[in-house]
Amino acid sequence: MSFDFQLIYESWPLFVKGIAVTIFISLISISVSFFIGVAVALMRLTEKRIPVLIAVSYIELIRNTPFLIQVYIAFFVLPAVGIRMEAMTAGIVCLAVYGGAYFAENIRGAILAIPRGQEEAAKALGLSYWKIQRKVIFPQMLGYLIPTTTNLTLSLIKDTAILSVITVPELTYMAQVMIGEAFAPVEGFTVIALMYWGLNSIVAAAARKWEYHSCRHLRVNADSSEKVVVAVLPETR
Amino acid sequence: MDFDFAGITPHLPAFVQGAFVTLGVSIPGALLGIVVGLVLVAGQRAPIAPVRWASSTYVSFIRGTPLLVQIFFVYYALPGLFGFNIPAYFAGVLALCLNSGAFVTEILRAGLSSLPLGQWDAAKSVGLSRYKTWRFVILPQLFYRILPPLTNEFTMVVKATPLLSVITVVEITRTAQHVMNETFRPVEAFVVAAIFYFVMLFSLSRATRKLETWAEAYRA
Repeated sequence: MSFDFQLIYESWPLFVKGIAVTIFISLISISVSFFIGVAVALMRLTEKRIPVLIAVSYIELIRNTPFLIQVYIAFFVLPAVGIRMEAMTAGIVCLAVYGGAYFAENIRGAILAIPRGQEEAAKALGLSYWKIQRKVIFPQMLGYLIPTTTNLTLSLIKDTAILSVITVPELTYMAQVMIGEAFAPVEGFTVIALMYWGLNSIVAAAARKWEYHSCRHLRVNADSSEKVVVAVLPETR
Repeated sequence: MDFDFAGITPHLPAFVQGAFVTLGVSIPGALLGIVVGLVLVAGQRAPIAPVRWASSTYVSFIRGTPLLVQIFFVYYALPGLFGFNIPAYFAGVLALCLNSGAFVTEILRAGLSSLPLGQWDAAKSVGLSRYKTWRFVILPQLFYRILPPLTNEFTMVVKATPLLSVITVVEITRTAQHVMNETFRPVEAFVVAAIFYFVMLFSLSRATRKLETWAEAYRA
């Protein structure tokens, strides 16, 4: 067993390019999927039959089929109906649509978690609609929203690796290129695993900081990090 | 665009066989995952600090890297490290259980910490032995708490199996690829695969919800 550091040093540009593409894809598709999530969550909460039906079937279809299958279907179906996309665009679209379904459920959960009495009490105090949303509802939602959003973001960053099967030049694809050239699977996969781990750790640490600062009002007392609102974290890969 | 599922029907038995392979990797993968999870939970509570660090690092590493990379690592890199080849099927089960274990650890940890400490004290005060405490007090309560999340974890494992198609495990997704190569009908092949997955995953997630209400009722 030997670990060839020289090889890793030589293929460094490949890895840097790969992680740049991974970060780029994650940034765009996660932001888009958050907005899809908000829209679908609101649709599902309308209590009108057609929007609810559309929202529920979107959520259930996406959440109950594997991401890889969705990627393949998009990759083969879209050209068949005349939509030609580059692999990268197709990948971003897939990830955004996939993430949207999960965000929709998380956001709906956060909205439903706020007791109706909060809104009624605020109304009774004479606050306007927007003041109620901004000062009463939204700050309390954050306690639910930040942990679930963080979890989902981390798992979507990991899911970008799956886009390598449709030749999106992200980190996993770059590792396969490097391994194909040099036949060094141990080195290649170790390096990218560490890079993904690092990226996810940085995102997780940043999110924890953000949560600490923006959920100050939800803490039991000023010094503790224990929150009054305890969100249930979904276990996603 | 026209759909033609007639060309796919002769291949339906192959899909059914693929579905059995999917279950054939996910069931042992998930069960061994529970074993890995138990070991890791014990490791995180071990009296020796390096053991605690090792198991926490393992959990963080598995949760911080894509499953696809872990599968590649097990299938392509482990043989290089240890000098023997692993058949695709066993590499798949190994990757799944190593991955699932890290998630099961969290489930077990959450389950254990949700039990009030008074349960241990009460068991001790009525004179139960360590074994009897676990057997009659802790485990029965733990079981109802972790069964719903464990079913959910199994759903997640099934949902992760398509990734094994990249290392040539002939489960549903790989079958769809074979059918696509034979019939030149990619859309129909993958739609059939999607239907197979949807039926499996939807019924599993419904079962999880049923179990949740059932466990809730037991606790109340």
